[in-house]
Amino acid sequence: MFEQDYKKAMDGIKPEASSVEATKEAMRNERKPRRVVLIRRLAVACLCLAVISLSIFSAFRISDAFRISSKQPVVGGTDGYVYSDTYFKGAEGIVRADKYGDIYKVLSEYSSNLGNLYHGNGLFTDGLFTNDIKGEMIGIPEDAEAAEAPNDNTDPEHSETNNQVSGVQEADVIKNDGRYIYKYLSDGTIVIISASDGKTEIASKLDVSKLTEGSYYSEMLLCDDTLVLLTSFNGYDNLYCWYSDGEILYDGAAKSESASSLENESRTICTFIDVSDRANPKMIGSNRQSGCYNTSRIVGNILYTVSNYYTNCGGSESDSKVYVPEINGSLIDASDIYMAEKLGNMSYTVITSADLSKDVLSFSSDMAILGISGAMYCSENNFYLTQAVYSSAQIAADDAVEAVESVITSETSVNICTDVYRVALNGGSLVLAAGGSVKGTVLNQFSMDESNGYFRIATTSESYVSGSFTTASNVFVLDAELKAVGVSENLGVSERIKSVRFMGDICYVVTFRQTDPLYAIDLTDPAQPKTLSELKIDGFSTYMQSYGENLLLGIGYDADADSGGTTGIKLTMFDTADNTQIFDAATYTFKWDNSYGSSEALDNHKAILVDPGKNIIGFPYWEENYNYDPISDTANYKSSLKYMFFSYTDGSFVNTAAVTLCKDNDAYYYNSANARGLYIGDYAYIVTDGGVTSLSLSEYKVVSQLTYSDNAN
Amino acid sequence: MRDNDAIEKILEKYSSTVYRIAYLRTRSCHDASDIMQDVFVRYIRALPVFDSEEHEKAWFIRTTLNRTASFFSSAWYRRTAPLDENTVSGAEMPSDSGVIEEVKKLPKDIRTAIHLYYYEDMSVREIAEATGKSESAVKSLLYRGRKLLKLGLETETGTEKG
Repeated sequence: MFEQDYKKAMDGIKPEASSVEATKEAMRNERKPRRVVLIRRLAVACLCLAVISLSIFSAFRISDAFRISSKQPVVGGTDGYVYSDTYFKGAEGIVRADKYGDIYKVLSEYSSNLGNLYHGNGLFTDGLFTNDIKGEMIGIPEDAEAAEAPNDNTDPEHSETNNQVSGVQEADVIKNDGRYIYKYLSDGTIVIISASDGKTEIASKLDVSKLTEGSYYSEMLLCDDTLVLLTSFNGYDNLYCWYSDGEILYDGAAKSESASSLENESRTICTFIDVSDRANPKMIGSNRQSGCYNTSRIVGNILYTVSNYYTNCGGSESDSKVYVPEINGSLIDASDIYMAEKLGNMSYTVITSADLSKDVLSFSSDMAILGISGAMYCSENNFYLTQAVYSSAQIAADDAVEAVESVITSETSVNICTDVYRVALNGGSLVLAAGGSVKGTVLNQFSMDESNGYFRIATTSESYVSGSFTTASNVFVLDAELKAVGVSENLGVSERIKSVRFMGDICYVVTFRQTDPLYAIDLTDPAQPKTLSELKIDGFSTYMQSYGENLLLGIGYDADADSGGTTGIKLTMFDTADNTQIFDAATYTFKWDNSYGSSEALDNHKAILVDPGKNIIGFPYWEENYNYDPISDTANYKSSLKYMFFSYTDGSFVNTAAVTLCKDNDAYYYNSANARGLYIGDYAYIVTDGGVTSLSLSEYKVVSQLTYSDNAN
Repeated sequence: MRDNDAIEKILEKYSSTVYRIAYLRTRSCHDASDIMQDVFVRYIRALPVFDSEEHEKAWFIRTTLNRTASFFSSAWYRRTAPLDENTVSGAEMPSDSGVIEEVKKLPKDIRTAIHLYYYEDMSVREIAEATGKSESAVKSLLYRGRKLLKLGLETETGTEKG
């Protein structure tokens, strides 16, 4: 296999010892004894100098061990297995911290035990929780009804962010309330555009660049007249800023001047903007929490913000600011911090809640769990956090670094599990309520679902047993305590899950190696999931969504049945009237002949517009046509980014419109991550970082265009 | 004393990573060594503060790519570079295996993407950030690379390696 050969060959390419020596010499000549860093708030006029000693290098002890290897380990022949990354161990028990010292102890033990790889049992059937927190068990409501987002009857019918769960709002770069479009531009401007009957006008622009400068990513949520801007600072040479009482404050670098370890300045900032007067949006406050922004949700009026805070264990126990996450400048209470007693990684998941209906917007509740940073899912009642865990029956390693490179004998069997934790939203008073474990790993948020008092999760499991590697997929049903009550196993042996969608009691799973089995699994009886049907077709879907009664829309790839290679992008409409006999009623393929195409909709559900009621499907499509001559090594490229509209009529897909958004060099470098389609009433609007194009839905004709450089009225 | 340890450690950690990327881009051991030295000297000058292992590695990879780009546009290179990019300069590793030779024949952008994806296990998004291209462009480079290498075409999805 190419990858294996290439890796092996490249391993042999190394710099000559003499040039490494020369480099070392050059570095010694450059070395500075001290590093000088600027800190302080604007309110203080003087500069303070801090010295960060070169003990940042001590952080390198937190070595190679804990990256998730997302590629399969290289399987050697008779040599056994060679891992390019180590694997880490997940939680065997989880406790609440009494004091910060408890956390320090756990982190220290972890750091000094790098050489010991913990042995797990793989599948946990008894749940994870000590008596410590069992008393707070909060069950999953059995008759949870989907709380529809309140719909103002005077607003025209309009599309919303393509949320996974109805009533649970997800953030995006664009929001739509049926009268206005709110768009975040990556240059740090929020544009509010009035949209009505195809006519668009800029209502206002808000410059948030001072807040977002140097940030990694931003997106928005909208709750009535409050717009929430979520910004992620990854702590990478950039100061993070926040809004407070009319000014922008900034801070960065060392929190504690005596800290001898690496400071982590990753932060997630929530800025609240009052848009009750759309012509005059105003920042009214902000919250900040440690860690890079992961995701957020609004349920009812409560905002939940999730970040991942990676820490290390330099410094001393009393330096709690170094290893404990904080919110709005104060450390999270020890009693709100949970930790796995035997850690698998040094990342906290920090979750906060804020009540947007209150006048003063600060945190209602906050908590952090040390040792988790995997995929998440949010229902109206609970957050489910996951963490992949590798366990092995037998490993001999004295030293973590050696373990990374050690050859594991062919007798070793290694299993990968996913620990799952349930955090009850509880109206904004977050509570860690349950924990469990299942075999395999999850793909993304769509692999999980909560319904009728049960939690369902689809995984792909891998096992390496006696020289062979296999995969298979499973759907587990867990109860409120996250104990497995039923499972459908061994789906698609030797394949992997490519997409999952839970719809009521039916779970649709797509696995792929060369052909695409689409499985429909009946979960009506939680203890006995039943595979109803298996449909094999070429290619595979990466995202699926219900398209009205008895129809399931899939977007994904077409592939060559023999080689398994992708050959185009495909829409598929599955007929699910009879789940025991699903078939593909229609397909539409963008074939790659002398071209190549891609779409953000393939892996970002927010980039696809789907409305069965209005019969609209929309997504951006990037295409590149090229002629390449290998002999002269020259190529001629022409790229274009278009927004495609489709409808499903009389049993086939109809391409109702293809609107060119940009082409040639712009399209080659243009990040199409920000093209979104939406509709209000009888008009569709395509919103990009350049402007807004309006189309009538009656004829799919462009009726107007707007660029953001137009002046606000 | 500690500084020397620190220098040793960081070199041990990333010298091969940096060298391999530089070698693949320049196709010359000599130029790759120069670029490697350039990257590490810059590291010592800047002493950037990292948030995590990932950031640290990403910094080294990005800096190496930047430095090779500067290298190609430098006056020195333009004066002394071979007219035909297919002629490789300097003393070559005497026994580059067949697969490396194949990859070296690919156009620069394509072989860079192939190396970052297959050797450094970077995701499409990470490669896009490191190279300044759009994710679509990166997927296109990988697609073309596989086609040119005549690999049994693999699937390339955004969900793989997130």
